[in-house]
Amino acid sequence: MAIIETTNLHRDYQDGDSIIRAVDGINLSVEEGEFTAIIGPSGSGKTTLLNLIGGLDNPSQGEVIVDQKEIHELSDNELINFRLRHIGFVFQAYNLIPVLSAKENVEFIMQLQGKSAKERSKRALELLKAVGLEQQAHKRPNELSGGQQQRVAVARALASKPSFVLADEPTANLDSKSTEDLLDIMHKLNQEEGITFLFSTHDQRVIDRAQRLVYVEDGKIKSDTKK
Amino acid sequence: MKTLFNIAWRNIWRNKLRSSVVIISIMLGIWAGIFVSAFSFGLNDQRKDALLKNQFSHIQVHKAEWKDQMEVEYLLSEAKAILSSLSSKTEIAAVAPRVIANGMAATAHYSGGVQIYGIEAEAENKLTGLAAKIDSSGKYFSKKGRNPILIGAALAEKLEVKPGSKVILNFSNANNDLVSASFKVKGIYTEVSSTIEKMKVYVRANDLQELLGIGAEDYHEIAAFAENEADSDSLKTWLQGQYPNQLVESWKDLAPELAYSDSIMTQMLFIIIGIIMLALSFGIINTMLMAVLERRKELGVLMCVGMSKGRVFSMIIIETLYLSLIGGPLGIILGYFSVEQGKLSGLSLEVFSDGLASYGIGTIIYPSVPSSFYFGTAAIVFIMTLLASIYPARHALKLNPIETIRTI
Repeated sequence: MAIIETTNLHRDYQDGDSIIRAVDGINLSVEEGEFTAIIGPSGSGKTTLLNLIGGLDNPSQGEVIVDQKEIHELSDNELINFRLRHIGFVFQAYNLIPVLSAKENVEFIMQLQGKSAKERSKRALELLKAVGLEQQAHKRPNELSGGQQQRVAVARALASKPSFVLADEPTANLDSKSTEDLLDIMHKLNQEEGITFLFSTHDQRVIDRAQRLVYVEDGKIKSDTKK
Repeated sequence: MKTLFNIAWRNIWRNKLRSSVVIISIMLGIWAGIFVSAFSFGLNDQRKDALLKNQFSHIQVHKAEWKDQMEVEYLLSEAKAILSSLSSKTEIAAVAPRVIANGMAATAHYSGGVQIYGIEAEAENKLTGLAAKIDSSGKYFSKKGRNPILIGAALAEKLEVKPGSKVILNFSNANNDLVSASFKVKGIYTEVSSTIEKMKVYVRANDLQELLGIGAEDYHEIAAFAENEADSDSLKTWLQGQYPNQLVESWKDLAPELAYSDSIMTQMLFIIIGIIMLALSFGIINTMLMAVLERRKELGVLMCVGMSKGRVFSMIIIETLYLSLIGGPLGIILGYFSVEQGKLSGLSLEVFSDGLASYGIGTIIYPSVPSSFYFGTAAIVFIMTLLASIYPARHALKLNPIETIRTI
């Protein structure tokens, strides 16, 4: 069953007198449990596509259906609530809350969802254990390495039990060892818990591990291959 | 909500120096506001107390015509009964009758206009504490001796007299004949007001009654001090009801400008606190705006992952309130202890003694503020901070998550 479906998706930007077509009629369907990488050169429209799927940007034309809901028909507050419950985000620059510990960062999303303290604590520790950071649970982001921070970010993205995780260049700031560790964790979560991941990436190591590769250029899908 | 408080608290300590500067500035601003207010309250209270004690009392009774023209003939018609009524009232602390004449005091060196107060020594002392104001070279009235007089230090200097010296008083009696009598200086009194020292001389009531040619129970004025100043108006109403033919006035009627300055003092000082907080508010707005702009990306991420705009707004408001809720109470506590210390030691304004004396104020000021003023100040701090927090919080709301994080 498709949990993400875009139909004739367009996103145009005005640049002076000219119009830039960042996304130009993309039709994409992502099934539950996929480990998909969106690849392509810089400026090809990968990030804009992920922003549209994540409900962070509005399409000029077309629709994005997530969990059978057209997300751009939702009001601002409904969309925030929808993102909170259905989509996990992993950012290139980790973007953890600096004043919270690793565990508190993971718990934060669940607090926004109104989960009980007991439930939050239990799940946060489970997720930190899953990403191999249970010993670092009480450390703040500035006490963690870049790779560790990104693993906390993955745990945070999974905290709300989302339908899928969107990750924009998640390994861009990581060294080789951290990249491998992160990919192992995400692959394991995908294989063992069936979590759907949708990446944008330049990183060959991520491309090598992806099950499906969607190649985007000039805002269009040029190829879509499953391994 | 607990999370928001938790994050907001930690956020304000991300830049310890900046937050500390704001907190300290709020603390010092509030402290200065409270201390200046306490000083003003103290100044006003001392001026009011001095004027009530030495000049107006809480209630005065005269013949109605006396107010327009202070003539010897305008004597209280029911003086004995009024004194008896007031003395029997438990709310009255002291009451004293007076005979008053306008005249001239003269020696070989100087002559000048004075108000001659003929007083009942014991009652007057109870009402105004006159005996304690006499310097060590002289004495208060006794029944012995002929025509003793008490004069103010400022007048004594002009007349060049000391205890034992003679002073001639000239005034008109009840028949409008000019009377000239010799008085012997019994003592020299000092007042906080140099004006009173120059204007008032005290003689015994029976001496003046005799010279004026009026009866031994005839008086022009009865002054009374209530146990509690707040009862002045109700006592006035009661006494006026008892003696409708006399003019009964409270100190608020006798010195309306004093009553007005007393009544507006609190509002005026709250305005000063408000102005201080208004100035501090701009510092708070600046600090919080910087904090928001520095954390644009972080706030954008929070909105991306599902934090509603309402929560972002609340978080900034809470952060701002924290700054004031630390600085404000610290300022209030510091203000409280400064005022309490000031009450014990007083603040010497010796260098302004001449100017203060002309206003009837002593040179040692004892600051004081009503306890309600602290609560009012706390409320102003809270409200002004809340208002100051709105702008940076609204600015945070306007952030576009996409623009702030550029990428997901």
